[in-house]
Amino acid sequence: MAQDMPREFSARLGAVESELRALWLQAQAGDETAYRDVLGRIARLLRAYLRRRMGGWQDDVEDLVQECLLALHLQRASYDPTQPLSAWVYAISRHKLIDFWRRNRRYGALNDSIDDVDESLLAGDVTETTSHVDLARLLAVLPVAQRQAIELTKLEGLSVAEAASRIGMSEGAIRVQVHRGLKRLSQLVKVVI
Amino acid sequence: MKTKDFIDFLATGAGPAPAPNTTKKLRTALLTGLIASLGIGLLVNGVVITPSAFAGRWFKLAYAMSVLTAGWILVKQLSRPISRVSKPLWGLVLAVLVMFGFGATDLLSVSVEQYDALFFGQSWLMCSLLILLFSLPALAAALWTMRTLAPTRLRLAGFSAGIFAGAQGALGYFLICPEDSFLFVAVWYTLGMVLSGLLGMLLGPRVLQW
Repeated sequence: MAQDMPREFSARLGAVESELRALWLQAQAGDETAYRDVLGRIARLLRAYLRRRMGGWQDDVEDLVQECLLALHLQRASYDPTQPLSAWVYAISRHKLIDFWRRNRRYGALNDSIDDVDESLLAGDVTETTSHVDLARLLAVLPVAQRQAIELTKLEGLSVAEAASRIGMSEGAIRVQVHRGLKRLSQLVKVVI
Repeated sequence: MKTKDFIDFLATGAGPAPAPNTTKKLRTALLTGLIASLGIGLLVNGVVITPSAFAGRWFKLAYAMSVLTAGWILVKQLSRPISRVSKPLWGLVLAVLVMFGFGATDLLSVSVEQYDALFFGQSWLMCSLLILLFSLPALAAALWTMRTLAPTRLRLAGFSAGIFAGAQGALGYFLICPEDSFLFVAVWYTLGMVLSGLLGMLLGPRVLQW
């Protein structure tokens, strides 16, 4: 799998692999600051990678960046620390990109020649644009329990224990509702894109 | 929405990553599939294979179990974003080759006129199809479970789910199968499991998307 990685992905992510991996492992252990940091760095790499793959679809790049980040978050449990983080991130992002082409009926686009791509897009610090994702609107579609759990823990920033006592659920139930809600969001996001 | 804000949203209250649960979930799928397949076997026939008949037919059990083991490893690997599949795939090929090797010894031990009997037995037409039928609940359970995990090679993942389910179907069919020849099992059991694998391969890209 690792040898299938496109050059710019393995080179970029590979060069910073150990640094990202250390942060990622901290994040896996529950360090939110490290998680924020490493997701930000991965987002920059994803943006560069997707920009060059999504020729005529630049307007959708940021949407897909966010879709990939959400997928990484939801599948955190599937990361095996004995494997390179870059290979894992790439496998998931590629899966999401293929899904994007499938939705948009552009099967051949994965094979776009590298020569067709504007080299300036490969610069690491491509400017971040705004995605079409409207979180408030998506949350409104969720079942009440999922929406409440997400709003309290992720938007208001309450701890799971605080959220649990606020709406009279167990802590485990809050975690389950948050996870289900995010999973549902990852389906809804596809409709937006 | 800005990606920075989206990351804030993801990271806030994220807590530690949940423990991997691939094995646990797949174990449930395996249990479901096995119960269904053996259950159908018992329902269809009622009479469990007799101990004396079992003595001559243990090799079918061994074959199905080998394929099941390779299928289990494949399914477990392919339920994650990065999968290492070459060893279990070779294991699968090896199991089939060994079975055909035994089948070849059958041919050496009898005269040419008896080839038909060895090859077709009394039930060749039903064998593969019933194995496929017996494996359908297991296939549904495996695909359903993999869908909640994170497969990224959907065709291969679907094929593996099919082989995995096919082996469970073969275990159920084993209970009611009257055949004794190696060659019969090599050809028709394998075909039944491959049919299930192909069905899984067909379904994989459609149902395993997440």
